Amino acid sequence: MMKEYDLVVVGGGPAGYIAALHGALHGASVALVESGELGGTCLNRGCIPTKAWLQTAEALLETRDWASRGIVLDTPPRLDMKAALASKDRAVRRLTGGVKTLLDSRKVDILRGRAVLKGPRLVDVEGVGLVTTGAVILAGGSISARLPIPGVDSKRVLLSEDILALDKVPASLLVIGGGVIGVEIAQIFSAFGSAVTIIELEQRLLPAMDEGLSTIAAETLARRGVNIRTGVSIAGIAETKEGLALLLADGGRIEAELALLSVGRRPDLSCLGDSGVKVEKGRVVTDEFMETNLKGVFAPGDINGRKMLAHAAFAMGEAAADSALGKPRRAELDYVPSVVYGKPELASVGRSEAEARAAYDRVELGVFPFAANGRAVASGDTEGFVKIIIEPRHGEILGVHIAGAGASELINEAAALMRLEATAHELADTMHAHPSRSEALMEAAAAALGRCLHLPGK
Amino acid sequence: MASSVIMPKAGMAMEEGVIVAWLKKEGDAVVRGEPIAEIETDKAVMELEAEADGVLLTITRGVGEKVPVTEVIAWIGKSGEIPPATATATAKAATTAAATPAARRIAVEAGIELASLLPPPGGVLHADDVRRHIRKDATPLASRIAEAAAMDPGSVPRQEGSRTHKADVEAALSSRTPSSGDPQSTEDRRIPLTAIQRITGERLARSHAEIPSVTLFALADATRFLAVRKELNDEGSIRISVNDLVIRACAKALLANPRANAVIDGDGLILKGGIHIGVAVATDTGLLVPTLRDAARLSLPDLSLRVKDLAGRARARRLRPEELEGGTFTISNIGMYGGATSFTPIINQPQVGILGIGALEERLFLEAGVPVVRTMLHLSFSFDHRALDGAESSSFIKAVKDLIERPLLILS
Repeated sequence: MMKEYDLVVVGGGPAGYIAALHGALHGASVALVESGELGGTCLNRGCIPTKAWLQTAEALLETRDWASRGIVLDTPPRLDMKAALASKDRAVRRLTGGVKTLLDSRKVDILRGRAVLKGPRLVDVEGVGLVTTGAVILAGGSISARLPIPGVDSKRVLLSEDILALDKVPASLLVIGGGVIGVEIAQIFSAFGSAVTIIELEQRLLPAMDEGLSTIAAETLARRGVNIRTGVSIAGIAETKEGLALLLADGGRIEAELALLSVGRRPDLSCLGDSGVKVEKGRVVTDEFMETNLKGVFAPGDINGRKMLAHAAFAMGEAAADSALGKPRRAELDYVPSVVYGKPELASVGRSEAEARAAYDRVELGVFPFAANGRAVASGDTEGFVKIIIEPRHGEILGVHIAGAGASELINEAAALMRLEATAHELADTMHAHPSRSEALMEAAAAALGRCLHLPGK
Repeated sequence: MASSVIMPKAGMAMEEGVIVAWLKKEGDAVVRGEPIAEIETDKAVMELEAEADGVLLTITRGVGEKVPVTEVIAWIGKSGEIPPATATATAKAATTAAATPAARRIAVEAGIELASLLPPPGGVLHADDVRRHIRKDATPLASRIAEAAAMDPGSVPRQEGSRTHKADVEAALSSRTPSSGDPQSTEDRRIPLTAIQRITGERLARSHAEIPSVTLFALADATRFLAVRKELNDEGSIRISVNDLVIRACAKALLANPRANAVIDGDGLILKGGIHIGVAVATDTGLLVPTLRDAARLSLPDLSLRVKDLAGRARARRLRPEELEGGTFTISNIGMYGGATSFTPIINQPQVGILGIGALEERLFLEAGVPVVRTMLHLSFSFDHRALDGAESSSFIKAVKDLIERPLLILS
């Protein structure tokens, strides 16, 4: 007789494993079903491996500036791609192993195999059979989206998961899609030595982010030799003797050894089966409590397409677990930071300038460049700025956008303040350690209020 | 020697009272019998009178404080005299918090435990300390929005256990100026129940759950009744209401049906000697039922004046606690609201019956083949079936109906 659980979680990614841990923490008997590696896209094919390689890429870039700081390399540095791959894989293994340890420590049963929902309280697990449960959490995650264009199935067109397994640097790489994944991978291979071209359908890179961040990203990448083509639509892909050719709608043609298809991700609905879970535009429809149209069936994380980010998935996973165990809890997704890693790092929370102007009668901007920040100048990394958007009557912080080293850390201060409803006044008056890059956030708030003393008076 | 002022026990059930206002300040001269404070029980607000001549030396419990009965709330004595409680008060300040009355009032209104505030070193909490705390307890953004709108963030209702957020202030602002709010708003709003609504609610729920109640309906021809009332009002200086006449009719019907004028006492029924009718009065803060004592013995003008007085003071929350007790039967009248014709009132425990007065309605009848218009009064009678059987209850409502249909008997 198969064991019956309080909670069965399908998917071992951020939403799934957190939901399982949270359920177990609150005394539920929990099984987690995963057919691949624990950790999901984030740990295995996304956030973590790209960050490992970006670190290698940034280290390589930094060596170029060493001479100006008085460090002279007698022979130029050389990338050992096999070692880079191994180093990245070690990081991934360590973190996925960590997830297993955490699940074991809370006595979560890990069932290996594909899972399909059979009914509100019934999950069919490949190799295990039917598992009955009090509630089901479907954290099926997402898969790389594809484009319906001829030739897209060529072996030379890689998805992000394929490119992260390369042990050889291609001479040239075409990045199709200038979103977060495309920009990060373009930077990695550009630093590794590939000639990189980014093709973006929209008029700018990172079209979902504040325009100020798009601009600085495009400028820096161009300076490093990355070819950026925006506003371009693709007619097809043809294989050539050395690689492939991208055929553009305007008749143009771009050749490269390999291409990366990074046009976003779409929910992986394979765990739904024909259970009747409601899907709209390829996304599972849930309420704020993460419950689907089927009572007792919850769907946190990428599968519902609300915010396809690991940290949003953590929040949704916890909310789903509470809701599934009878304590309905909303997933708070008001202040979700988003980060594009690389050099410079780009980070945002809240509204973009355009969104803020559309929603509020009056907005004020405060921009503080790292070139005016003592710590940045001393460390020779003055690229970027902090931009804060406020509503001037009360000083409400509507959005914060940061470009520059450490942006992924600085943005969390902004997110915390916004969630606690601190205003630009409190931020401007909060003492920040000097010298530190965080001072730029404080100074930008002061600038928005017209009282920044570390910027020249008008 | 200084004498203490204590929280009075005004009514059998009273265990604690809230100080609504101090009518005298520390240092004011007071005369025996002079009101010095307003005390709120769970039913009413009453004035507390000084029991000695002298000076109000100290106020030991501030406005808004809930104080158990017989506990000292102030001291009266000769000017300059040191009240004996000072020593104990100082000891107490160490465990609770020493605060000025204004500080206490602000804290109570904002729902803040004074004990959670640290008094300034060696001192007493002042109003400003509490206000500062409230501002801190609202998010900076919420405080700024409230301040800009000249609203006290401490007065904004918020989710339990949470700070005051922007959304709370915005909700309060939109309810303050409904015109600026979206009339189509579909957002849920939480309105806390008043103390009276909570207590009434608990009693109604208990009554509804515990009593096997049955409601009888009757339609009384009130045509002559209304004509008599008009004559009375045309002649007399006191305006007699339909309600007044029905109360008197009810009192007379109770005289003839003593089992309906009773209270349940465990496994017994106490047939009450006096007929004291509770009259339900809707007030801004909830339903109050003051008691019209000896209703059967009052002349009609006296009855009318007494009911007006009770209802007026109920709305002003100026009833004495004993005026809300001792009822032997209750009347609830919804006729004046229009709308409903009849209803099933809930019995006021431990009483066994309640008379509901519904709408007046014109109906056509055939009398000797001729259509005539009669104005009918909807009556309902909910009773505790453990105390009354069908015959007894029918006899009571029939008595009421008969009196309404033969109004001169009401006056007799």
